[in-house]
Amino acid sequence: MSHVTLAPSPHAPRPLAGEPTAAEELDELLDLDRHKLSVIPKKEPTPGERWMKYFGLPGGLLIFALLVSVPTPTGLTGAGQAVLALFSMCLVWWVTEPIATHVTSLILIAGLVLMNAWEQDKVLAVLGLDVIWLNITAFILSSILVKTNLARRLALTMFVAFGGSAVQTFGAFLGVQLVLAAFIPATAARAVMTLPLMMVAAAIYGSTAGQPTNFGRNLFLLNLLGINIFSSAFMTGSAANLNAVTFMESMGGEKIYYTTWLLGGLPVALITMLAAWWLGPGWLFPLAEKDRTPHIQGGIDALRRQRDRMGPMSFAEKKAAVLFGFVLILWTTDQFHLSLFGFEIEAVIAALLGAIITFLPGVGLLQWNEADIPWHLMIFSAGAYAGGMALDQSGAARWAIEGVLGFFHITRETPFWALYAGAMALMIYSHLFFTSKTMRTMIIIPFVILTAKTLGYKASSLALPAAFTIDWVVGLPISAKPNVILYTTGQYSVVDNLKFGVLVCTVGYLVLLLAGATWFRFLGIIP
Amino acid sequence: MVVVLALVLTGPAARGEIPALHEVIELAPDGSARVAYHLQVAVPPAAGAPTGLRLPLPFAQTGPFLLEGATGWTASRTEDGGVAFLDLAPAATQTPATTPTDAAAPAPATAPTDAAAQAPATNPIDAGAGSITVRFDAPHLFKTREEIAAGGKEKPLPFGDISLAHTFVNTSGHAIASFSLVIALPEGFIFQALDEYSPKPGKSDPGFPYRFARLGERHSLELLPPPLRIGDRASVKARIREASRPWLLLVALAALALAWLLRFRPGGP
Repeated sequence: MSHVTLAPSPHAPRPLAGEPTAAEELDELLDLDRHKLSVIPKKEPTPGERWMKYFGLPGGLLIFALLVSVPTPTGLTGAGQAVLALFSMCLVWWVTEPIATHVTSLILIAGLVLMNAWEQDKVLAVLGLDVIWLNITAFILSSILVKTNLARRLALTMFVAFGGSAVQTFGAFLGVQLVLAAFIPATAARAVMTLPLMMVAAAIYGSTAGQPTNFGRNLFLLNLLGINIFSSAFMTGSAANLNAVTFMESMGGEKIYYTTWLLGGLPVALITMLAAWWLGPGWLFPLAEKDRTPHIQGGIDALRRQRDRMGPMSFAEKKAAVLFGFVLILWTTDQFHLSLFGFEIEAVIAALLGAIITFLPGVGLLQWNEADIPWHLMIFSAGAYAGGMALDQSGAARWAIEGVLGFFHITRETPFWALYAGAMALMIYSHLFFTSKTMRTMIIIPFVILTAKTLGYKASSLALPAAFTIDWVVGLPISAKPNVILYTTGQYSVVDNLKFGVLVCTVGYLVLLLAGATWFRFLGIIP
Repeated sequence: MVVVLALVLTGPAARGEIPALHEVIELAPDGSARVAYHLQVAVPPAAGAPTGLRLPLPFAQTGPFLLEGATGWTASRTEDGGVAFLDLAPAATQTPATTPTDAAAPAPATAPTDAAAQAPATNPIDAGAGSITVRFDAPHLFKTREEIAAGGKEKPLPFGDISLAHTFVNTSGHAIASFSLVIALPEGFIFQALDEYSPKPGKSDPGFPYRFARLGERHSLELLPPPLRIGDRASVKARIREASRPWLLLVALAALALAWLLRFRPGGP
């Protein structure tokens, strides 16, 4: 659990005189300014993590030394060999974390230049890619939600309106996660924003870390699923989604529109989460009768009071809503820009326009220092990107995929559906062996694109459905940052997480297969 | 470009098609090379086709042209507008414009005669003549690092890289249905990077028009473009270098790993 101490938000509602202490605690819980993404939390590693770090650094160096010193294999260039060696070393370091992930990225960036693997100007230009800009602007926009308390109001309103019973409460949280996923690309941010509400809800229903009930298991795991899987419904749902889009554009030569992603990804995510909403409380972790209703009298009312104390929407909240609406409208109408304006406003420029307005004196809502931009994540992304692009440019990725195709005897005669089923399974279940969505995307999506191109299929026919599952990192507490955050509540075990996560992944896999045969064909994603 | 256009416009009419032309360049460590053009020339005859065909010769050439395969043809070096060409023609219809311009350049080479093959005074492309291979030596396809250093005019590339570039322009006057270019490096050399190549694959092309392979023990690059029309070009620009193991780096990494294991053992000091 992160321990970040920050000054309370100046916009947080003040407790009224004579209010019960619980309200003050609720206030403190709901102070979203306490969780800054730009501040790296200090985390004490477990004994297992210590050993991973200990062996991770020499392990990475050993792999690098082996790959760089063997004779250059047939079909590979010297640059490709160097990229493979560097990337493999950094992959080991990203997973085992002997040094911080963003520092590993810096090492990769420098290594690419010093090992003659990729030209310096191209390596350094990666930090200027539109995906990095989109990340920066999205974090600026999400800072508005936190500062103006619009995120808190949204969450409280939905919870109070739909949280009358246990199952309704789960549904309300899923609704909140769905809405937040459309606006906030950082899954960790959504986790920290809604965590206080989850903890309050768990307390209201009598589930504690010391004595967790199936209500707590369902609540936290459904939120974990919602945070991650709803990210796959929106192109901007996570930075890794944008990475995949960039790959499809740069390697596949195909433009992926926001609406194309939305129409393909949203139904799959919704159906999968509806199934999870039923499977959890109804089958995997059935609710006892006593857990179906609040254990604390007036628990929901406490949240209602909290919402009421916020009063009517402030002018700042209204401005934030209008600003977000403006950006969202631009994002969702991208396919019509050309006919409407005579030019196209790409997602990154739409977000940039929103960010510009945010900082305008008199009109805006933020000072620069209030924008919570996690630069270490930008550096990490840039390094991972540089590695992925160098793998492609040097031909190393193609060399590797040809090796894989040869190993599995995948040829042009292999039926598309066998490839589709294999690619989806690889993408979904591989998350159990990765701790970073970005890395998984960097490694698998280019291979999927190259496989499709090599075998004569449209790159997006395999890569876009595979990209819809990038955010399905729900199997283990270490699979993603929100998982770690929620696991620290002690409301569920690793086995609980694994059971629910793998079950929902399998349901999602079946939904994807069905969508591939029907909906994706209708949309033209699959020929 | 102007020269190429002029040649295309004034050269032999593109009535026939060369079924296949494969260019193989085998490099030596001193920058010289053995070059071979393998042609298949069997195509349907075309009425009134002029004689001979012309291939680009973008490098100096030493020694004779050696012809194999179909008989009764000659190969000679020609210069036109300052550009060198390899002219191929049946012996009886040697292109009048052929003028060996280089003292080192040999007289037109004639393949071993065959009474039947010497007779026709027609375009070899249209003669249904089969396969021809022309071999010759080229003294300078790339400059070694020593040559660059001695010359003092160019800066050597960093990391010990050597620049290598080659372009084939279809000046033959005929479309080439299947073209390939193979560049085999000297033993002990590798391709560091392929910086440029053409033609680029289209968006709908599933693959890339090149691949790295081996020719015996040598690393090689094969460029496999789509059919070349008259005036089309196929080119590569790459960096090559002598393969070597980074011993110093490996020792440094081993020392770093050892130091880490000694210093940062969990539970240790």
